[in-house]
Amino acid sequence: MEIKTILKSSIIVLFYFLITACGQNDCRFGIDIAADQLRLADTINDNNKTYYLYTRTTGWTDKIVFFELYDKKPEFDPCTYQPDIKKLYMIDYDDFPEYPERKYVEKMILQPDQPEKLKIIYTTDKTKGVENVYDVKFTR
Amino acid sequence: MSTDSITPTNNTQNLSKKAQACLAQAVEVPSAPLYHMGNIAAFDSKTSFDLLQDTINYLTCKAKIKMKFSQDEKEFLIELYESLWWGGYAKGMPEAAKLASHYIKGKGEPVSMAPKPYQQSVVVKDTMQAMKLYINELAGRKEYFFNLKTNDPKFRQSPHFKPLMLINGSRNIDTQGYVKSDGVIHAAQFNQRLQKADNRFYLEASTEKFTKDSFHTFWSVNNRYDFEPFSKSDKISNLALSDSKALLLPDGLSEYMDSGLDLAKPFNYQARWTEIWK
Repeated sequence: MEIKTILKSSIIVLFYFLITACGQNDCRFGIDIAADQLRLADTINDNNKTYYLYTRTTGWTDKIVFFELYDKKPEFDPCTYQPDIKKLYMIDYDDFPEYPERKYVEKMILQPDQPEKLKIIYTTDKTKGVENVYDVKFTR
Repeated sequence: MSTDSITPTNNTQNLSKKAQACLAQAVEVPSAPLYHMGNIAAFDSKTSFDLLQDTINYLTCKAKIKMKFSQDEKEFLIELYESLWWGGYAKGMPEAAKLASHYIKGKGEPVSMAPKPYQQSVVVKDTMQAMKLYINELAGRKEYFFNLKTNDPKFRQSPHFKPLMLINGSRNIDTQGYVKSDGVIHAAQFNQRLQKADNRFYLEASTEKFTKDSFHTFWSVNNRYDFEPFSKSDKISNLALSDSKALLLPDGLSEYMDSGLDLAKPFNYQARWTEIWK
């Protein structure tokens, strides 16, 4: 039992040195205790332009899913998860647990000429909306 | 034969098939996950990465069908969370680290959190300012102002609330944060320290008159630390260990550490600070 404790302590010390050796601004464990997760949800052509819809999930215990819109395919930095181009629009998925009823995305409308470039219509009817936020696509 | 008599048998058979499928993925659970995490962080070790991810996947499979965990498997999960504490502290996210550690060590007891990440947050500062203007107005009209929360319907209808909201890019989600129409504050996404500790929350103010012209406010955030079960979502946490390697830890597995394994307990946490203002 004692040997096990000593071994565990040694591993913890070693682990600490390994991760602190990376530095606070390094792209290593700890700076992103839960790094952002990016997924390409859909693409759509509109007026000879291709638009890219991404989901970005952020946070640790309470995660927020954002929809991000781009008019070119972005490259994301492997450390910061930030895009190399400016996003056109960003909006969160309205799923806060304390809402009286869970809402589902019924429509995801692209409107590039409007200030609100992604118009999201929600429904509380599970059969009309998309149950899994990661399956949301542009409404065509 | 009635369907009632068929269903349990079918369920048992399905469960048995799922259990067999899980067992087919069985791996030897590493006794020192901390060592392997360090190995990935420092040397980008693929062997260590595969070993940890395969173990997480195997345990996830078992958790989904509520299979029993061995002592080694339980210890693996505990050490995984201990590593979050080390990593969080080392990299400047002490509050997120403290909360993760409390999840496995705190036995569900409430815990206080340092207020600094909230006090330094742009959206919290803006919200405090808006609430103070509103409280001042209420006091001027001799109306009740002692307790106010950001979800207060009258506050949300006041002109002070509108600049906090995100209306077609009126606020920067990444650098400023914003408040939703129901009063939930969303942390600025580039504020990693707050975002990882508390991504969204309500702000509360308990205020009393201090002098004729000044007020004393106790600001607080009260929230709960828990994870969504597998049945509710398929969200995962992305534990970045090196430039190219991130462990994927399902939230459902973190939740199962409480509901199925009794290794962790959800808890309430609070941050408090005071201010005297005019």
